[in-house]
Amino acid sequence: MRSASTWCARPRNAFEAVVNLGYSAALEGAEQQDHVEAVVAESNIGGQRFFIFRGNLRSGQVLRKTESIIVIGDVNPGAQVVSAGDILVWGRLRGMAHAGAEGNLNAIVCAMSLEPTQLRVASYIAASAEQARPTREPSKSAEIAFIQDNVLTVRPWNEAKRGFRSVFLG
Amino acid sequence: MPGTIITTTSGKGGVGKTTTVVNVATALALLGKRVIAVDADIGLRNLDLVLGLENRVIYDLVDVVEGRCRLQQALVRDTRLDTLFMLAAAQTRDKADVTPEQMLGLAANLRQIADYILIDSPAGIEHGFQNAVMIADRTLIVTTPDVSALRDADKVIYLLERDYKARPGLILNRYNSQLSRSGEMRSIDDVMDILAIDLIGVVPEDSMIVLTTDRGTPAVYDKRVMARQAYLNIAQRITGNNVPLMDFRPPTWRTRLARIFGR
Repeated sequence: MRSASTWCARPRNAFEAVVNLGYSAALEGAEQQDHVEAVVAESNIGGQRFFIFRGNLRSGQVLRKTESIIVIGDVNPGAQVVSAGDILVWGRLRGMAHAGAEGNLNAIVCAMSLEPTQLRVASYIAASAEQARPTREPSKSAEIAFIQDNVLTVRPWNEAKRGFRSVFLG
Repeated sequence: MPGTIITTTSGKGGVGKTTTVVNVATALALLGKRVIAVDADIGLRNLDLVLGLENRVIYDLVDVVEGRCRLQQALVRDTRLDTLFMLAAAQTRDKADVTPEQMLGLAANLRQIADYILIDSPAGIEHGFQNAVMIADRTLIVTTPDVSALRDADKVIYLLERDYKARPGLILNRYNSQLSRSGEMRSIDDVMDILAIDLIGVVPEDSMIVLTTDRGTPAVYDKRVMARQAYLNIAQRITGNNVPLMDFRPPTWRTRLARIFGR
């Protein structure tokens, strides 16, 4: 999955990635809007809604939503996260993640430590090439997975910042 | 004060539930607690063998819940400790022969007469498992560091948190410190990173254990067994004493010398 040929990139900056996931909805309802300059009226990728799960997803647990999914916690091996939109994991993603499950090729999966047993975006499937080492350290950097030139691609977020914008703008 | 029911479960079979129950029960009884070990694995009776009490069993758990005998008649007193008792499972019956209501009634009676009731759950997550964890005040998950045991333990923790709002404790069994030091196998931290529950104890891998279970003499009696100290520590932690984890580092020349000179 992480072979050199598949390394590729995307978003503009971290803030925009958050806005894309629909955080704007929360800001919109907030009072004292005067200090909030960066508010946008709606998600810039087509009015997408989102769903937040806080806690660890354990083996056998399935989170299946039409909305984009934010997990604040780990996704353990044996757990599944399936969304028609994007998936963001604030933690270690070691289970199965399927973004764009209804065919959205622009969907992304991102995680602080992206080490899934299997990764799917729309109809693309990637499996870890090497057997996961039992004692693997979490990745040094958060990573983002998306489809680039018909290849499901994984890049560290700080490399993905530079140069590639089209995927994140749908 | 009513006693505490502690159910030991794992999901996967063969990771050491029965061995854990026998040794922790014995260690608790050595601390002077009144302890009852209950075999909830109806149809696959094992606990009596590992405690070495097979030939003393007259009535079993199903006899008690079906009213053929009183609870006190079915309890088998341990041959070595006065405060340790065992309630055997029925070998000739089936998990489905015991209803949840019957288990709740049994649990209420057990709480009356003991400080700690240790329940040996069957493997799996079906009826027998449900019966065993339903009545628990505390649950202990037993797992080995290997991938399949961890996967099943994770699932069981999910079920316990979802259905019983339980906060299980973890016993990491058959831990091979040498393999984990060389990076070949998961360390305690790697296991805790996945399971993320309270660690109650770590039992080192020890080939002598198989002899103690086979002969029906719990490992806590045998000073040659490394795992002995781990079980004694677990019993301490269950009673609320915070004792540190065993030291799994290899002995240095300094500690070797200290051992020779008895210090």
